[in-house]
Amino acid sequence: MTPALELRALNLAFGALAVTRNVSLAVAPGEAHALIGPNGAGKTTLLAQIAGTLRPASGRVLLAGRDVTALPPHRRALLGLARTFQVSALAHGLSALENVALAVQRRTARPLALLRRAAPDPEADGAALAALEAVGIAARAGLPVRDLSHGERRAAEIACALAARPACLLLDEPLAGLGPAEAAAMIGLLRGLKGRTAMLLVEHDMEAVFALADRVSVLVRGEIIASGAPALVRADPAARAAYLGED
Amino acid sequence: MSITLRAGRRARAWNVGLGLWLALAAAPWVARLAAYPYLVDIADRAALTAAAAISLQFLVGVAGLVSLGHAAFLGIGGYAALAFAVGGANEAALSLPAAVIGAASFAALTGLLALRTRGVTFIMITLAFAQMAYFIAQSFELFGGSDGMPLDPPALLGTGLLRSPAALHGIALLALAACLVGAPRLTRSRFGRVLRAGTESPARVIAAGFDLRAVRLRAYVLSGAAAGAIGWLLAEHAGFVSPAMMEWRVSGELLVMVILGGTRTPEGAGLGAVGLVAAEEVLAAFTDHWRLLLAPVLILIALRFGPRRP
Amino acid sequence: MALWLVQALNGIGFGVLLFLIAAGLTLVFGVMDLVNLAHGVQYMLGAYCAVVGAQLTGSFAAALLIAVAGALAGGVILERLVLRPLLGRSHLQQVLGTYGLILLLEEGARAIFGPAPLSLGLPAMLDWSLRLPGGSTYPVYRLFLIGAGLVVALALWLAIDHTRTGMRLRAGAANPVMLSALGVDTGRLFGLVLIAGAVLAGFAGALAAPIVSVEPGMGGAVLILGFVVIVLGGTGSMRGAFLGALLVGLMDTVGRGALSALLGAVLSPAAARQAGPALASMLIYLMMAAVLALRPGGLLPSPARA
Repeated sequence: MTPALELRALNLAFGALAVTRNVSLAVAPGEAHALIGPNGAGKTTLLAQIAGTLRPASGRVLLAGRDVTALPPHRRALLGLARTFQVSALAHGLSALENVALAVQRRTARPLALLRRAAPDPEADGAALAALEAVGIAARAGLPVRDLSHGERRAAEIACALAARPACLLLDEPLAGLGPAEAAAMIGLLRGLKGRTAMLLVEHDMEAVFALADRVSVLVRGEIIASGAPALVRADPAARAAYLGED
Repeated sequence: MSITLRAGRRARAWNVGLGLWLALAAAPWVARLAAYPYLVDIADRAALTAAAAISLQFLVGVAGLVSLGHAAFLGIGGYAALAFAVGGANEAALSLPAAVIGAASFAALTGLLALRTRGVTFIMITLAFAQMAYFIAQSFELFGGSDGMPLDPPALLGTGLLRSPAALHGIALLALAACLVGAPRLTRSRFGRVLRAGTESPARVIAAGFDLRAVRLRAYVLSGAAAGAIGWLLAEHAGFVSPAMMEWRVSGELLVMVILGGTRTPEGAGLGAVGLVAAEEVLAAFTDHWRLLLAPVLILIALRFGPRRP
Repeated sequence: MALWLVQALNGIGFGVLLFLIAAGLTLVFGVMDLVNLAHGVQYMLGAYCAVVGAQLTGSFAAALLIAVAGALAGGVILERLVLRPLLGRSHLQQVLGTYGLILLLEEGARAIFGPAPLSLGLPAMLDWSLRLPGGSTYPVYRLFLIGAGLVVALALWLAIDHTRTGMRLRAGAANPVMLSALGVDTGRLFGLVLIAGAVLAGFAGALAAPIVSVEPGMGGAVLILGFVVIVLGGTGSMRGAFLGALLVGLMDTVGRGALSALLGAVLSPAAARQAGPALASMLIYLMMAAVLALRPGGLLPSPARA
């Protein structure tokens, strides 16, 4: 079965500092794959290379078997790759609904219509609202993002990613800054996506990781030192050394 | 700010725009009342300058592109008019489309390169390309070199319809109306929303699947094309074309008008333009060195108003 | 051959002047992210101070000193009153504020000295020509200009590469945000950059005064060429500014000459006469466009921006 996402021997260095070393990884369709590692291991940099905002020096990124290494980020988005950002990337002056509707708008027949009103947009708003309902903030959808709480913004961020019905979702610390109730809701949401949407999830919250992930990979100093089922990785000596030793 | 508040602000802006347009439209009658015929000329120039400022406001306020080279498009429009006149085909139906296409082409070529950069570098590059256009215009002896040349009014589909002051006044008002109506519609469109979102969060727009650079290039070309048409009108209104139309000071003045108007609404830019033109006319009546009076005002406004950068 | 040498020397001289103007400006843009359109009037200020100084004292050397002093005073005043407050504001406000400065100072010069160009005579000591290899002669003053400019450039290089302040500047050019996070007193550093840049530009104006026409609007064209130099070299990069300045200088002199020769050989005289000047004026900007297309960050960008 073709993996939803595959990384083959990615390498990247900033000057003398090697940030990604020969990273290979595969995420099966519908699989939840967690990427863990100490701070500074290069997790966000790796996500950037998958999304296309950074170019690896060598190696390949494949989406559903298709080599996208040379494609810019917006093209990868259109091929079914969605991502969330560590610091929410939302247009603060627009409402949550409008932010989410952007991805839907892109997939309509005339995404850059010069004269067609954007808000309200019957073609795009339905799907956008559905995504906002899925993350639980549909009631606040009409408010400008700058008026939303941190937790609501994180939820809106996920809704933006979901609105495009991605085949593969990159999540950069989705639980960061969330209170216990919000975190539980987020985990529930992500669990609901398993099976439909492949996910590569960078996270520090170990409980969430082990509750959610089908497989776990450990990234230390740019290299994957362990990869496999959560229980196996938890017991792996190299992973334990990297985590407990570094902590 | 909820949708309803936003609607309220739009209604207020619309009223300002309408008021401005009506005031300028009334110029011939006011001129007759005040026995000051020159007022119509000033009003027409103000209307066209306001239209030019609105075309720049779209770039600055909606697309987030601060261009210090907008006058180049005005000049290209003017020189298109002159080229056809000198070439013996002074027909508006030919020279006006040529002005738009010429300006749009220049925008496409320079925009392709300039949009690879951001921030301060982008500002510098737009200025440099406009300066290039200025020097090219200066070098054409055929068009009067650095002095420029007079321009006869054009025919319209063979008739002399455009040759009366009334026609000129009407067209200037029409151009301003088109900008006052068109700019907000563009801003509210899907295209406009992508641009607006792109100034606040480029990552969001790209993650949604838009090629932000291509969208911005489209905005740049649209804005340039509009300015080309307005430049054509300015040249016909003045009856004269010279490289001074695209001097960097003109670009600077246009940007100042947009900034004074608040960059967020086209009506504000129009108001800034008319206000500055009016201020210049009034101050110039007192002293040749009216710039000495205007300059401190600009500096103070820059220092006092507006947000601090986070 | 002789003509090429003359044009090359002209190009280097022009390049040296442009470097003096661009050096301060590239740091202002790169490290401080400040759009300072008023830099051109600093150049003008230096030129006018030199003219006034020469009229008052009759000595060119004194005129140079007076110009530097005037540029320093002007730089300090502008920095304290307008530029430093503008640092925290948006680019648009900086454009508005510095554009206002241009209006104020240019109109001020026009009011005080009148719109007509002033001239500054060459100092007697330098008012002769040297015989160059190849047969043509070259004004010694221009050689002095090149020398003076290169000496200043060398001093700048030593200051930036071999002092702690210079190190902080280079760090700031690579990563402006980190600079204050690391505890550097950015207020003082930025003030220093702005004032030093003003003095350099004023010095360039004084050096240029005997060979260009000194008029209120002289800063405009020079400012824009300064921008081209900065784009060519890379924002924030001094080495880039030096290379860019020389390239612009040579392109505008040797390049034009080469273009005329090429056109004359390929086209008819009438066509060459029409197309020649237009193409020649585009050369510098075409070069900038080419660099932008191939290396948007500039030819010698400062490290983190590459």
